Amino acid sequence: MKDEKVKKEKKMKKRNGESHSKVDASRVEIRGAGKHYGTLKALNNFDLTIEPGSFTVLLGPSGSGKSTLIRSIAGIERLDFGKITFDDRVVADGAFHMAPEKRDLAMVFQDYALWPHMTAFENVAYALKRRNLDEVEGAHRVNEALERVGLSAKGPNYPFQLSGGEQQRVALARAIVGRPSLLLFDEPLSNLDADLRERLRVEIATLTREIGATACYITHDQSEAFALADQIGVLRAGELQQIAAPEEIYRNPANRFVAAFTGISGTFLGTVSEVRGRKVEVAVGKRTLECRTTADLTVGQSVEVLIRPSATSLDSRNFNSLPAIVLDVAYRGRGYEHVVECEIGVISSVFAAESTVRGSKVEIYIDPHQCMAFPSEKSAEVDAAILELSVI
Amino acid sequence: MPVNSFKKGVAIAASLVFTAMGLSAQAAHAAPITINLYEAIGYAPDEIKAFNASQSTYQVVDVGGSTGPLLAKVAAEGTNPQWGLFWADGDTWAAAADSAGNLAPLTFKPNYSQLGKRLAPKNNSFAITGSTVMVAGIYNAAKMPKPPTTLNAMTRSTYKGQIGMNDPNISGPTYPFIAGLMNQLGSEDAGKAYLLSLKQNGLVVNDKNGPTIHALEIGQINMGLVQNTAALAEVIKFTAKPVAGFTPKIIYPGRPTLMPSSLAIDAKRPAAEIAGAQAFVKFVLSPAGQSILASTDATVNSDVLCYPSIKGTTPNKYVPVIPTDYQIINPYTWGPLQSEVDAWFTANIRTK
Amino acid sequence: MALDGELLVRPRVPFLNRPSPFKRNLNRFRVTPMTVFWTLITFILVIPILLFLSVAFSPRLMSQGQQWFTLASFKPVFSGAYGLALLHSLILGIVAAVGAMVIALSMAWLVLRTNSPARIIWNTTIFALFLAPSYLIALGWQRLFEQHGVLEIMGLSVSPIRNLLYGPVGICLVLMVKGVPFAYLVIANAMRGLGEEFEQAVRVHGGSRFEAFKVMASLLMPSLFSAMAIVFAEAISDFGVASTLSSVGHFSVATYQLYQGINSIPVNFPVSAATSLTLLALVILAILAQNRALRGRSFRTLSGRTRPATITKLSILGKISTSSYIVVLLLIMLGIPVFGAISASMLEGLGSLLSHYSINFSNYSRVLHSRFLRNPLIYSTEMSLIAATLAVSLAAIASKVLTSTRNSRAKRFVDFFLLAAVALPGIVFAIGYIFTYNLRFINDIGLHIYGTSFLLALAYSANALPSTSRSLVGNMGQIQESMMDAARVHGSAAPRAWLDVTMPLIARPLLIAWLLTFSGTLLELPVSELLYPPGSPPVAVGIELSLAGFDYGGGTAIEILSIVWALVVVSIAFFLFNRFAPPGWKRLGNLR
Repeated sequence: MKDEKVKKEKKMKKRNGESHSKVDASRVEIRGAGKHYGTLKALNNFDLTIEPGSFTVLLGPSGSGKSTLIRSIAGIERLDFGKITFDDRVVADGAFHMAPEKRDLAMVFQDYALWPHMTAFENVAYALKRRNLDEVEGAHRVNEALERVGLSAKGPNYPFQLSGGEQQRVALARAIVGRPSLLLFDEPLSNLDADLRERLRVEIATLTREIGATACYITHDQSEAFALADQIGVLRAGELQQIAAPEEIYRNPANRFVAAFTGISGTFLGTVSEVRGRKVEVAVGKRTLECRTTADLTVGQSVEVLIRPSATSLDSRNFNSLPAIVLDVAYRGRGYEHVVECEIGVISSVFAAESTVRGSKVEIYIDPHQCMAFPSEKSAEVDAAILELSVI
Repeated sequence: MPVNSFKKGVAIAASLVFTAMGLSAQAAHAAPITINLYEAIGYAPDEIKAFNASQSTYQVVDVGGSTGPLLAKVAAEGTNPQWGLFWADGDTWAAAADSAGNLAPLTFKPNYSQLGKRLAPKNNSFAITGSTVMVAGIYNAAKMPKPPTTLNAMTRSTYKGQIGMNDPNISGPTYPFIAGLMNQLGSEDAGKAYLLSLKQNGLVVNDKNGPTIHALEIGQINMGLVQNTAALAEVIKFTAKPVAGFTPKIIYPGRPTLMPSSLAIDAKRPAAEIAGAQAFVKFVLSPAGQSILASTDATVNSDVLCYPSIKGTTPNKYVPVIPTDYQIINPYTWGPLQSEVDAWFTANIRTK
Repeated sequence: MALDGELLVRPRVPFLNRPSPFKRNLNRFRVTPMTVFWTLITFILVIPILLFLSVAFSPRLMSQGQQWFTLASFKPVFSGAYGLALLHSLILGIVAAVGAMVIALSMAWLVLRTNSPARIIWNTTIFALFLAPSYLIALGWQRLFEQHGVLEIMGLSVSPIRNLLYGPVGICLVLMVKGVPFAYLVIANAMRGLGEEFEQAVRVHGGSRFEAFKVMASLLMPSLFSAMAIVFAEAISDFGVASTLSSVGHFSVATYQLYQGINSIPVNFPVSAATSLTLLALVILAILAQNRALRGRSFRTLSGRTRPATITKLSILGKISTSSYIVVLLLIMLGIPVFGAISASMLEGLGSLLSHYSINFSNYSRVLHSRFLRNPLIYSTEMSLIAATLAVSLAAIASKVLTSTRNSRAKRFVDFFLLAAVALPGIVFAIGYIFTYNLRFINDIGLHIYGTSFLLALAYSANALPSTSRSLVGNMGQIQESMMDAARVHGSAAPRAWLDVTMPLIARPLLIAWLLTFSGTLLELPVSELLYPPGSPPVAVGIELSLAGFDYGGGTAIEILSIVWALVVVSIAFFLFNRFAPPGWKRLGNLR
């Protein structure tokens, strides 16, 4: 009975649209979700919970199933198996599929998906139709949304009269204007240049939190993920590898894929020479490195050592360091980033306040807390593509 | 909601369609017994109108078209025929249908004239409503004062490139002409050899009567071998309004073939319909039905220019006397050869 | 008591707690526009075509012979002469398709992307071009070039050209001319959705105007191939033009064999079906070529980011040369059929230009009361309205399937059957309909739709579907799918979203497709002739019957009046669109 009342109140609030109060954010639960395209499993028995009001970023390379997942949450895609609930509303369960328009959410698309035959104002107003507001109130809300994204003057413009950044802002205004309880972002920044991307990212972060809606954001860009998220889920081949706060993901990646995809500056192959709980000594070439591990390793086991960019420095300590030759150096404002070649591989993003000329012999210190050993898998899974994506 | 409303929409649309179909079906059942007449005869609609007005038990419905497509329609209907009556030029199609056991023979003896008796099938399996001549040579007397009068003459170099004919694959009445050639020359092969010699002499092949006559008008050819009704219609027009340099006249080279028009009844329809069909045939061959031949304007409806087959019928005023030396070919003999001959014509005359 | 309790409880378990498999299946089978679409495609396209083709192997199946299985029908098809005819058809198809595409592309560019003065005439006449039946085009050619034809009366010696025109070259030319309007529509529709950024990109990277044109052409590739495929299929299924223009040239095409089977007594459908299969083999070649050329590419260029293209300003010389190009093309394409129509309908006899014959309207005043005009035209108009609406609705879905990046099997299936329907002459298509809907068991279950207007409307729609779909493919292919998704996500149900988002973007192409189908159906003959309900002949049958009675003037006059009527409907439709459609609908895809 009480629940009913609460729900009703929720509904009323939404309809009246108290624009500055926070919305009632949804809790999203996904259980056993599956989606197959022929033999390809885009999603495989996938579980995920998104807490109300949280900002969850799903991070994964292309083909990891993140797009399928967010489109299934939106209802644009139909799951083959599994159940999705928003609070206590079941929106997908087995053959049952709630149409996207009934899910009361909003979405920002990678290609903006603005309607070219409508002005910016009309594009934003369209998303408000379902609220059945009167004209004055509606116009007020649309203008407010446009104002929030800094486009109050651009209402009468057609999309083709706006720049890429402005267009994505219109899309953002369209997403927030209806004050939905769930906001979905499908790689919204990937079509923008770096500077614009940064600014719009901040806008997305602040606007979403202002409204208080639950946000689910997918990207393949880990810096975007770390900057935005309350929690990050890392996806691979349709399965969730790890979901945790950004710091946790960075510090304690559940497996080498998560580690590799959330930023490494190099990898080495080695052999375990000593195990001390979660600390291991790994023989790498002629030296020994101390690393952390989340796996149960045994002495003599082949492992792969993954090194975070922040782990390295041009420092010659007698501990945990490797000899190397500087291949390249790049000025980064705060200092210099070096690419160095060691006996057993290349490490990038080695930071130092001073530059070291190319070709110099140096020693690289590697922080044992930020290098991780994982049992090496037969199929060398660190494919070049992933590495490339994850190098900061 | 959208799925439901869509379902509803489909349901409404479907019910509308079925109601409409039901209504039309109902209308058909409440009305007199209907009989479909597939016809390629210009004055058939007038006969239908008169027949339907003359009684109320049956309603003949017109399905007009060209002979070829109509025969294709009948063939496609296969073992579930929808036609009650079929009326078109020629009798080979009727003979073929009779041989296949698809025709209901007439239940009465038509009052045929001498000519009608010669043309009618012995077993009375279909009616002969008239006849035309295949072929008439329509020539431009202004340019060809001395037209060829014999088959041989047409192959002479004097007439090189001046003679045109129709394609039997497209023009229905042209096969009887070719069969007639073969008949009078003694064999199929002799007929083929003759056509090849015509081709050697620059024969022009157009689709059907109209284009061949047009080729004559423009001087592409000076003599066209066409159905005599088409030739007559042309002569009538230019007699009424003469034009310098174009004086169409008609001769009959060789022994022209008399081609009957046949009206046949479908044996596979319900008995009541067959009875109605019999009544219709009877009406067409009756004095009332026959009077339409004389009363119709031949300049826009050349099919009434046929020779009547019923005793006492007044032919249309433009119908000339019948050529003296005509022949009649046996449809049961020549009909079955048509496919082969037509194919030969395409390969050796039309496209080579 | 216990027993009662059990009785009360038991039945509930299977019914309520466990979803029955039946119910689950019912849930899975949802009536969506797609299920309706596939059902209709199956019944109006696939089954009739397959049943017709089946008699090539199994004449008995449709009671067209004794054998359940035979290959005898293929005998004529494997002869050398037929091989040559098929080769002729193939060449004819390719030349007509490429020619029509090149002309249409140049025309679309001139009209949409330049300020060539003559483009205005083109815009207003394009519809008249659609309405010119190939019969009138061929007739016009004849009237011009024949002995004592217009050109000779004007003192031009045209006999060398005449021999050329009365043969493969002429056939090719007429088929090409016939294909241009369609190809133009497809290409122009696509070009309207193509922003200028692509051209600009070439120009700023040092490309010439020609280079820019080339890039644009490659971006338009899907629509270019779409246009070519249809013109190709139309050309290989042609019979009328080839037979009209080959009285002297003796040029064989594959359809001769097909018609021979249909016209022989007794009718030989198995041979026609075997021949049809070879035509379909050509269609498969065309589709393979298309797929190879496109390699599954489709260019989604129409989005919120599309900028309308700017118009190239031509120099005086450019204006003069492009205008003369347009005018000459129009004269050839429209002037010739109009001329053919006028000479045939306003002159006595068979419409020959004999010296003393004056032009008069007597044929027109006479046919106004003809039984072949008024009721048949009203009936045809009604049927065309229904058919156009149904065909455009189906075509919108079909073009979506054709441009979809997903389900490529469905795509290939639709692509093939749509083209197959064009490559098979109309009469074959109609025979397939009779085979299907006159089956005894269909009658036995109470469905009597053969010989009804309902079936005729379905057949008209199916017949028009290929060209209608392809005229939309260019536009559909350009619409980014996310725009529909965005509308759904922001609260609109699928039909609503379609109306709000897709419809406005393709409103004009849809209108044009509708008018194209309407006018094409109004004068459609082969399907009309075989499937019209007893007693209600469509106007095309009326024309045919007039011509059969040697009333050439009257028949052509009815044809002209019908064309004028169609143009009136087209004008009304455009007027209503320009007057009442919301501005957003008109903004895109507007003729400039």
